[in-house]
Amino acid sequence: MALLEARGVTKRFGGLAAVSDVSFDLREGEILGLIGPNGSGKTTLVNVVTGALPASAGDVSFAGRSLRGVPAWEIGRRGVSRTFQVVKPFRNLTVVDNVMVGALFGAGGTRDVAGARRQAEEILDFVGLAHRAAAPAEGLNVPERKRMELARALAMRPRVLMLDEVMAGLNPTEIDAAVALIKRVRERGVSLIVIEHVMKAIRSVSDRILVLYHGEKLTEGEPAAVLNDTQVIAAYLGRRYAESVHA
Amino acid sequence: MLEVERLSAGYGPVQILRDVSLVVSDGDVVTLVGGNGSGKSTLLNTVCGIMRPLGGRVVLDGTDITGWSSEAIVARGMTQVPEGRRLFPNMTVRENLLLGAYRRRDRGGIARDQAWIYELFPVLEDRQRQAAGSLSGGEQQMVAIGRGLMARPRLLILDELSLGLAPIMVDTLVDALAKVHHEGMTIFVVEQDVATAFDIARTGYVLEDGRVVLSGATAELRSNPHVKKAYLGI
Amino acid sequence: MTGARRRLLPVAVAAAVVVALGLAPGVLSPFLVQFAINLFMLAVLAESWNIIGGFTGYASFGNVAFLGVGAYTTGILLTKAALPLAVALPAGGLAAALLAGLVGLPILRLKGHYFAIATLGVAETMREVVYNVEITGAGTGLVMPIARSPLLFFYLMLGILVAVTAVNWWLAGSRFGYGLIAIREDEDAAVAMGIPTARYKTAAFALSALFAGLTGGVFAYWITFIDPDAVFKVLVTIQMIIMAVFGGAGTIVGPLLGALVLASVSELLSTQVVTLAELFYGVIVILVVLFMPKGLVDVIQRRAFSVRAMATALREYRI
Repeated sequence: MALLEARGVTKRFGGLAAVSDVSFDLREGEILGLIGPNGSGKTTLVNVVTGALPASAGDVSFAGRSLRGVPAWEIGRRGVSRTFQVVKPFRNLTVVDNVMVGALFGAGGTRDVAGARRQAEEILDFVGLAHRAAAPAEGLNVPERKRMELARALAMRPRVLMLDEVMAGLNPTEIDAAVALIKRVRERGVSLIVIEHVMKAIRSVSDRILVLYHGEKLTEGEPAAVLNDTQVIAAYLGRRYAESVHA
Repeated sequence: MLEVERLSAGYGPVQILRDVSLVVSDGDVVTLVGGNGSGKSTLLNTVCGIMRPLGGRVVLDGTDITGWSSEAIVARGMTQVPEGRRLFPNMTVRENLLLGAYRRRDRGGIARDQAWIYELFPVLEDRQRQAAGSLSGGEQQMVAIGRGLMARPRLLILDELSLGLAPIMVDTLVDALAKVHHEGMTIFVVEQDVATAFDIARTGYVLEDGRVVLSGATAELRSNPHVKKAYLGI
Repeated sequence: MTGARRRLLPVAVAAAVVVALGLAPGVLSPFLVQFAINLFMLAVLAESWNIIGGFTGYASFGNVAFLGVGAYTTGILLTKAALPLAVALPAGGLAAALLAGLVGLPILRLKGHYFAIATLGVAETMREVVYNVEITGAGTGLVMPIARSPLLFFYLMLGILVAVTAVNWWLAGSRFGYGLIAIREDEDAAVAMGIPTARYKTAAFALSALFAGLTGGVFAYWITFIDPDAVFKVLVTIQMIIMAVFGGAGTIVGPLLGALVLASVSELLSTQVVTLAELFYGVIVILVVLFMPKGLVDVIQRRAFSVRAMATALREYRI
């Protein structure tokens, strides 16, 4: 039994199916890459899994228990966390305060504020933001904000973490660092779903890749196979990517 | 078309740009690349009149526009396609495009340009009565470019074109921009994704820590060892 | 929101202030005692509004409804049921909290402007209900038993003020408080982090109503005669909001400071020109929004007293 199981997940908005009959497994300790064109349903799928949106059909279960009808906040409490594609910092708080919220309310659920602060500091150290702990969240640059968003989600002590385009806008060196960080997150006992458009990153971080297209699952499998698949190249990767890989 | 001479700029006590000079020749496609914190946004903000420079000049088509307001600069023929698209989400695709032609009075010309944009991006014609906010990221970028072109600018500036877009979508935009350039448009692209930037442009400038460290034909910059290591990840 | 060390000094200062205030009636003139009671009421209202408006970010424009409900509940229990104040007053607070809990469930789902209008509607509705119901004396009003001395009200309000300030202080450092602030900063992110937002918002709303209700109860007993127009005044809601925002919404002492400054100035002005009250508050709103949007506490903390600082604020918030 996989840690996270989605079966026949469908989400409709009016007449339009943003996600259509998508099934997948996330095994414990796995990093699953999720790719597909904009509008293919990736973020909608994350929203359904985390309870931000109710599914129109289908079911998701986590650690053997169905998440159907479970409110979003409780799904977070049970151990499924996510970051947002457009980061959502608590602007008027400091970085460490931001991360403390995760420590206080997540699956770790510390009730003790001082303990939460210590946990937050440890996590900031882990992601490499310790030097900015006391800074107001507003003052961070884009890569730092993404790391804080990650730290905040990690502070919840999740077993499943979904990262939504955390690498957008990073240069190759920063991408390498981010990939290394994600792998260290996995070593802490977190299973991950990583949504990305940066192929270099997806290639190096994923154990398996799932491809969505127009809300449906196009294919899934090992990175090498998926990224060479002609359907995937036609639908998503494009000729410039294909040319660059074979150059 | 555009000359930036020894531009310096910053925010309060923090100086970001140091003595930056670059030239966008008439009819050329030029790109400025650089990582986070290199000063690309600051440069654009200064050139487009959102920020005042600390020193140096910006000259557009022979006129010194240093310190001019954004409205005046746009009236002079410089149009920017902003980072993140910044469409009017509750207005239709068609309305967003027409708003690009806000300052124009020539009905015939506006209609012809609109047709041209639908030729460049056929999917927009299909979606013309849809709310812009409901389009996918790539389609929104098409609307944003179309809106910029509707102003019939002398210089089109694109800020972070490829951010968050699927590779195949970027392909479509690169091809479309090639066609736009072919029609005689001068284009300036500020871009994070260096590979894409070099596919679009003929001339390139590399910005690091607020300084121009490399410049030249993109065909040559591609094989520069520093560029390859730091920006192309090769 | 820093560590425990920083919090002991303010507590000591606060304790000293409370003791000083406690001894004050001995030296103050009867007029000043009356002014102080009025000031305490406004301060409690501002501090209690701060819980839902400042910390949680849900700007309620109807908290006077809770003042009124508290006033009438206490009033009815005192007159019709002849219960002692020690029972009638807490009952007033609880009734207000209950109303907030009930009404909160649907209307806290609304955001921003819609929530504000809905709360305004609640206040107006309560006034109409009271106006049309027998037990409240309808339009004629209720007459309270005469109280013994103004000192009773002084100490009651001082006690309630200490309590509501203590609650604010507790919120600023507690898990519940962090949850409320997260809701204010980004409610979607707060939900994703495991915060039961509906519960938390309703609790904050009820807590805010509790203190408004207690104030209403004391108010009723103090002025000895209440009718719907006296206790459901929109101006009171506006006063409490402006005082909280002027002082610094979301801070612990901001609303107190705001109440102190604005009530004093308004009192001084009204002895000169009678009808200035509403104009005065209107002008304050404009000044705050333009020059000090984060309130007085923020200005003091950043030592931003100069004209240049205000001009910067003007520019920053314009863009």
